Amino acid sequence: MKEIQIHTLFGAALLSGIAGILLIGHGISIGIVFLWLPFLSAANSIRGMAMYGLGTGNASIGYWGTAVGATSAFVVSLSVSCRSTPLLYVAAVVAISLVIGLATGILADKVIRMRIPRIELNSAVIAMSTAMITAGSLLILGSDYGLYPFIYIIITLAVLHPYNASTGAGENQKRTLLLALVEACMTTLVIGIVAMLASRSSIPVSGDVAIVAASACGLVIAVVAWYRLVKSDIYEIRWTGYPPAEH
Amino acid sequence: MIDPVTATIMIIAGGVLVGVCVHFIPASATGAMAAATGIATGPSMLSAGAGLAGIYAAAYSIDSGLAPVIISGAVGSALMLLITILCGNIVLAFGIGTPPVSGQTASGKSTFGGTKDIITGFEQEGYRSPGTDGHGMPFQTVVSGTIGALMGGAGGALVFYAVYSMTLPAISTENAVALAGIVAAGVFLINSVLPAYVLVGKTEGMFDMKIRSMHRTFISCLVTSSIVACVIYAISWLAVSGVVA
Repeated sequence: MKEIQIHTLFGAALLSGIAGILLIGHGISIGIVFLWLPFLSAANSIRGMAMYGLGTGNASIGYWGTAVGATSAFVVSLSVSCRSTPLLYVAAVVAISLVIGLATGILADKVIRMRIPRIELNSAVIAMSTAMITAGSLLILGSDYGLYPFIYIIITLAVLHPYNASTGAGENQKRTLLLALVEACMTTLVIGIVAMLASRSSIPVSGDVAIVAASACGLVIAVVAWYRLVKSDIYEIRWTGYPPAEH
Repeated sequence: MIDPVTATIMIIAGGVLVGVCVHFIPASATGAMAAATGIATGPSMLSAGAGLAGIYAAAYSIDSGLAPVIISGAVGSALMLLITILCGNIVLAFGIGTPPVSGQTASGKSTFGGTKDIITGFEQEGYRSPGTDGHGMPFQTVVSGTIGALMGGAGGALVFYAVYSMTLPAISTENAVALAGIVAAGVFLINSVLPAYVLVGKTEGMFDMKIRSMHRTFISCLVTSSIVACVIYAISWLAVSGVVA
């Protein structure tokens, strides 16, 4: 089966991420669903880097990539208001994460001599995708600095886990990306719930309820699709337990 | 408080210290199966853990000035690492029944040559289980790890204090501490993963030949930290001067 190319997926994720952030910035919270594609793009690039056996775990790549993206978004939020000027905010976040991600990738390739194909592209994609997700999350949750570590960890886990869970014999991009979608929905669902709790109002804000509802629907659909795909991928050994060669 | 230019230099120095410290901390994923010397996790994750412990420790003394913050960070980080090493050694010695042995030293490939622990003089050869690359953390790797953790903790604390000083004029003290903590953790994670590529998932600290590749880590972390420091400086300046709303 033909795989989706990194730049194709990232191109779509970039447009989708910017659209999502602008929608959220203009008060349409449901725009968070547009951030699911950046989750897929980041998970795909972690897969692209980790499948070559880096000598560091998938977890390290996830932590590192999200550190670049999330730190860029956190630092920029100090100066550029994510609520009043969302376009300037997202532009600054994407540009800074691109520079740091690309520089680190080039250093890993040229100075450390990793010799992994397209490591600089994958580094930049992870950094920019996670930066967009962080920016969107900050818009939803507001500038409560106490929530920054929570935002960082929840995004990290969602982008590093899909390949970590799917890796091994028979791993394929479709299943990994579908698992990434499951985790993206799960993450936005948790962000919605935390936004409800953080608003401290007796009646939940309609935007937060919309996030929770859309994420829950997405989660159910994605889990069912992923489970079907897992069953379809293992059909050869599902019935008898014999190795496929003996059929 | 310190001026922004000094703070920027501190972020660069802290980032480099964090990167270099990874080379000193003994870690190996196969250590979990008692198949290699070092703490049973990847070097970068362990260093990040030690660094975060250092940042937590540093945060408690944020009002006491730069020197206490750096010392708190370094000691907090070293304490976390030493407890991890002690518990790891107890489990390996009494749970699995393997004595702490340096694989590199036992095979005569240590930085300083010979087959004895460079500090205690204990013979390493003959104690290594067949088919493994050592197990546990012998004394020389504990010393190396402690030096690494002191460096990492001090580096993390430097970044923490520098970001705190730069952001304090723009936001409240509580928020500045929170923001500095997460930014310092970010700088730690960015710099601690880069050496993992050089170490290929395993190191015995400064007694491992891989310490000779440290210049690559140094250059990479210097460039990366410089970019991050410049970005933090520019944005803090914009925030303090109120150029962008």
